Amino acid sequence: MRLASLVREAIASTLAQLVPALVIAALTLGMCLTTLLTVGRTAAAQEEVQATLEVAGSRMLQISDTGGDELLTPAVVDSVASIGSVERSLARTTARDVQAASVESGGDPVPLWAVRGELAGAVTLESGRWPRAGEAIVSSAGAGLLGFDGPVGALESAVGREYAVVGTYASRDPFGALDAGAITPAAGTDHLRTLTVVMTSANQVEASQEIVLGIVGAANPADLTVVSPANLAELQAQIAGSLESFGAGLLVLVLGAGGTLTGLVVLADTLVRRKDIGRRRALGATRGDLVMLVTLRTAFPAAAGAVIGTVIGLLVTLRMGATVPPDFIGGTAILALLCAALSAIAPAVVAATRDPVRVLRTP
Amino acid sequence: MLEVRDLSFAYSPTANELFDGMSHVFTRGSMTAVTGPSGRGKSTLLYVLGLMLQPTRGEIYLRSEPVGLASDRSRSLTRARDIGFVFQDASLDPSRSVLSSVIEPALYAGRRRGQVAQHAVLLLEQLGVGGRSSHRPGQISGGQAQRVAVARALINDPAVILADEPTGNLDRDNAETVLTALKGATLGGRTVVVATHDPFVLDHADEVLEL
Repeated sequence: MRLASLVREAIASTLAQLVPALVIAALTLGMCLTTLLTVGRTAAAQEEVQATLEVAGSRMLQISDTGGDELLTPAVVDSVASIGSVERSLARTTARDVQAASVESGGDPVPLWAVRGELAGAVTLESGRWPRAGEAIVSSAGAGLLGFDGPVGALESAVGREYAVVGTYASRDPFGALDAGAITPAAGTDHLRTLTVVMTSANQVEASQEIVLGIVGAANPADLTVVSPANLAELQAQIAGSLESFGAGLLVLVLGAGGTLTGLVVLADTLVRRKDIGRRRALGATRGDLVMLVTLRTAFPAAAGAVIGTVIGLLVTLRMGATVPPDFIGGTAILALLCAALSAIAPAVVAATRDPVRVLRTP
Repeated sequence: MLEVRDLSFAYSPTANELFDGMSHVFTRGSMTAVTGPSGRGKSTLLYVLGLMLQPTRGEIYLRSEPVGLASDRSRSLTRARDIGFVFQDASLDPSRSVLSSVIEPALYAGRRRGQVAQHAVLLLEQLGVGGRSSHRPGQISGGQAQRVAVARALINDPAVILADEPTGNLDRDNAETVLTALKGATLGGRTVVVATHDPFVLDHADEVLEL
């Protein structure tokens, strides 16, 4: 039989016996709805947990050179910045106090850090321009303390070194430590003390930490202080894993139950239609034609049920405040449809292999 | 056209074997009536000739090609293309229109609906039921249904027509109409085999095969 004829026959046959078609549609609708309300919400929760754990602070690795061997050289800092899993990084010196150069003495001091790395990764320039060597930018809070009204003025250190102020900034998460002070590009002689590294993802922290420490190359681990969210990443993996296992188990249960019920409905339908199937076989339909016919007769109402069930499920979950991932929604509909169609194959084969003569001769 | 050699059939290994190794050539362009007491296998012979049952022994030849022991798929396709079957109770699909019922075997033979619709209409007109093409089987008489079944059997222009007690449920007038249609089918060179115990049919057959 040609495919177009088969499809047409399946549609006509479905419409001729609406009750089993409606039952199959209802079962598939139920599968989609149940999946979205249970597994879908679990997937949404998993994504929320993932998002919470992916905030910058959860992806931050901080290494402090406490041994005095100047391990955080410019070359080390630049190498770390070039690692693929590193989103942003910045090294800084110990803070030194500076005050407004226009104030003779006794002015309010603010901390100044000499930094190396991509400044735009740590702060957002609010006014002025990025500083060159010997220049500085101040945070908005720092400008307030210094009495600066914008990117004007200069800073003076305790040893009389001056830095022209060329801009103001606001710190980006997780570089909040730079909030109430000023930063200037590090000179070659500056001793970088702290390296802050933000990874692209929380689940890359542990592996990336090993690489970074390898680049730093401390002979004595005690020379470094490491603040790492590796434990947090492990917790994330555990939570994600638990949610995933729970979701997968529930999905199998829902689809398994739905598929079994659909198979039973199809089996009952083929028993009721045995004369119809016998006649088709007698007139020349092959077993393959009949298997396809029964499967399509199941797939069409299942598709309708899947679409309606998915739409209803999506609306209900949105109302409940859960944002189910879009690919999960599409996947649910497709899985439910496939489950229904596959569950029809066994009864279809049983019907197609039945002796047509026995069926035709049975009153 | 249609021949059986050393044919025997049993429904199960323990059941009685039918046909006793029968050999027979069904003459092309003629109507053969198969008759005999009840239980001798008249209908069974038609189902075997129609490739719905496989012989236990022997072979069936259609156009000199052995077809009886072929695969189920091959037999189904041969049945669709080369064999037309008329059942005792017409066996029309109650959900289809008369025209759609006539077209049905053509779909199993791999033909398109549009290719055969005109031919189906012509067949129905020739058999006197052209005005019923849009009716459902429940809306036509038994005689009309049997004529529709004959039209259905002819739609693929098959080499063989098999009819199982086609006049069994009909009055004399309708029986005559159906018989005329079956006889007419032989004019095209077809082989027609009718299982019957109706003397009216026996009288009009070109050949009688007694089981």
